[in-house]
Amino acid sequence: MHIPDGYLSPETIVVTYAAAIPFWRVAGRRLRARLNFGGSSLAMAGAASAFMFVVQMFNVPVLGGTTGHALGSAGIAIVFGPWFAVAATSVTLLVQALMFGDGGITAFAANVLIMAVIAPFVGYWTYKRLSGRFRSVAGRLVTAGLAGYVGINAAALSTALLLGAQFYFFRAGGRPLYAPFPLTLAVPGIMAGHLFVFGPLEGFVSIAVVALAGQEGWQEFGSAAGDGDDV
Amino acid sequence: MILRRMTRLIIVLAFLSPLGLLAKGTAFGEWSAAGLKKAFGYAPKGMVNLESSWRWAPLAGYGVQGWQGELMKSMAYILSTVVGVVAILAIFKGAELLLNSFSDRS
Repeated sequence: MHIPDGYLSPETIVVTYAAAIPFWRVAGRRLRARLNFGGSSLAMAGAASAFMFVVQMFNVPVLGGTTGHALGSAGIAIVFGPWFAVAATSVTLLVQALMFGDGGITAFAANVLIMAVIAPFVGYWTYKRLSGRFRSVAGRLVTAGLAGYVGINAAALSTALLLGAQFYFFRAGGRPLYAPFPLTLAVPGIMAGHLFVFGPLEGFVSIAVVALAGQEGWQEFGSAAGDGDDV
Repeated sequence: MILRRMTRLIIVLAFLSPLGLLAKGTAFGEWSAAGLKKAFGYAPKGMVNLESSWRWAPLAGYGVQGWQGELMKSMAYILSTVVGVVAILAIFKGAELLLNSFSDRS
């Protein structure tokens, strides 16, 4: 899902950066505020960011010859709050782009909006909406899995729409200038893998993160279990 | 507590990461212009201009220049995982030091 350089038009790039900056500002401010309450929020953010980086190293193939991976950002958002996830995932994506060329630099803001904003927030909201019905630990874990699944698919759909839009809006000489696939290709191309393979994988990762955090994780950092880190 | 658990998990996963290399192929929409030319018969002009916007990735593609073959590629992949983790932790450590120096002044 990491969009490389060259797939987005300059106009799109500018808009994505303009949209991403407010999210970075709020995420940064909230992270600092958390620090003032004492604690290792930065160390934890570093661990979360590193964890997501490692999770994303595990590529999985699907029929049709493409690959993909889980993100981890929804699980992180459920345990630590969505703004925390915005900050941690952004750093993951930054390192991936700068050091490994995984995801473009012009496309960085778009990737942030998709993987560091949409995925965690949609996952978090899904979790909050559903978890009220389940009192048991098992129920909460299943809800976390579902939230991860929904979050990553929301991100995948956003990617497909963003790339597909380039085909229609940015053309010259009868040909697309940037991402060259119409929606009829982009949507199934991206969604198939995520609906059936990477989505469940992300669900599993979300469950793992939530299980790893355990009760003390929610109490220490407070989030979906009920705290002030609401949107 | 979680920090410790997460750290251990990261280390274990780092060693397992070359499993991620078993999957051949690229993710949808992550192909190069040259790759698209083969598939569609043309390389989108805008893409050709923008695709080399960042040429300075030290471990581009999670590999090392010249490290060929399955074994070397797996080593490069583990190296990439370690380097990535260290880079991320360094960024947050740097942010922590910066923030501390600001609060010391006040």
